[in-house]
Amino acid sequence: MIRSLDDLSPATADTARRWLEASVAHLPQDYRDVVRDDLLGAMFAVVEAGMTPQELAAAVAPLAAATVPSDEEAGERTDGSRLVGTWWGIPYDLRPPTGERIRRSMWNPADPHLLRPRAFGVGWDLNVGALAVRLGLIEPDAEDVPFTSVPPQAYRVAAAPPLALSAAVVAHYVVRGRSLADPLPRHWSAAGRPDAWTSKRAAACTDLLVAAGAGAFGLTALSPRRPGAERAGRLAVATGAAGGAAAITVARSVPHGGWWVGPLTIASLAGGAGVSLLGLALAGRRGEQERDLTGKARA
Amino acid sequence: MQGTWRYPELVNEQRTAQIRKGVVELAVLALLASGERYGSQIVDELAARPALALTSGTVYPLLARLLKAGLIASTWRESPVGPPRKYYALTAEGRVAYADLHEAWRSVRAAVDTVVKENS
Repeated sequence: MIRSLDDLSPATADTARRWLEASVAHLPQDYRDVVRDDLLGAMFAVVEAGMTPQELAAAVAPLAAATVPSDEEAGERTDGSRLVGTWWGIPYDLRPPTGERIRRSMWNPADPHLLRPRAFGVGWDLNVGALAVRLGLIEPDAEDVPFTSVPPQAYRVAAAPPLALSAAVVAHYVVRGRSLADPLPRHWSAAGRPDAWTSKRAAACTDLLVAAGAGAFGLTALSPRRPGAERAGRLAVATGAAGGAAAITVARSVPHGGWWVGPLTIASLAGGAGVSLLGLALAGRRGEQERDLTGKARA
Repeated sequence: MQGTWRYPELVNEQRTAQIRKGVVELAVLALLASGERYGSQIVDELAARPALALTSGTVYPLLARLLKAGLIASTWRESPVGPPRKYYALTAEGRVAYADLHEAWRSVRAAVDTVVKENS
């Protein structure tokens, strides 16, 4: 046990300082001093005065477990970029979204908070994982690392809804396009009544582009080279976007709208993404269980 | 890096939280050192000790970190009642880490007890 870094040789003390800095580098700036002080105290307890740099590294290795980031996002959100941070307590992230960040904001069952900083944009996303845990649909630790045990066929099944919704939007405009009114609604009041309009051509182009983009984005999740969380995030976005496009397409085709326009659109956007993530998570849990339980049964 | 180490100015509640945070890992490793347990069992056993003020929101992220660090391992087992459960157990690395943390905790506790006793 030592009482100060001065008790160590200069080389060992230098190693200790570098280890401390490396151990807290991934943490948010606000926490670094606190955690560094905690680690320093723990290090003093396990280090002896005559240790070499190598001996010190071996002695402090077990302490490193405590510094594994609880959330990789924490480090990312404080990486010094102006594209990410908080403004008056409201989180924002203007970096191009990744499937993994989308997964972390929308599917984090171990975190009980229902709202998490949005993967892209301003505000918060609904943590569907926490909601599913509260509803008793899945355990907080269903998979050791979310979406790492999902069987390949589950991704193919999850890609079907966004493709089907995209195809439905295309079919709608192909079959009913000529008979639709012109102009079509582009905005609705809180009561679901159309209050702004756009040409049929512009409405159709918008809906078809979003639907086709969503379907294509969903297909990119089928690549087995992408990590599971990345694939799940992409499928969630694709399903939500395709659902949103389908809901708007339906709303445009009903001239007077109705109270259901808002709820349908929100349910299609959030519900589509949520159901996709839940389905993949359940498949991942089944994958882990089959790995463990089937192996034991054979043994 | 050569400067003085300053202890952060924390209010009492934050200090208590910091102390608690440090010992939670030791508490979880200690539970698993006496035998494997499933997630909600760990939560229930720790939640029964009000001083630790633990909830599932603290325990499950910690279990994920310990898994990632290789200190514990998980496996699903059939349950005599209800669906299968995921059990956690210490790995060889985890047993070493637990022994080290336990020893460090004993030293710190003894030192703090002595200082408090001598000055109260």
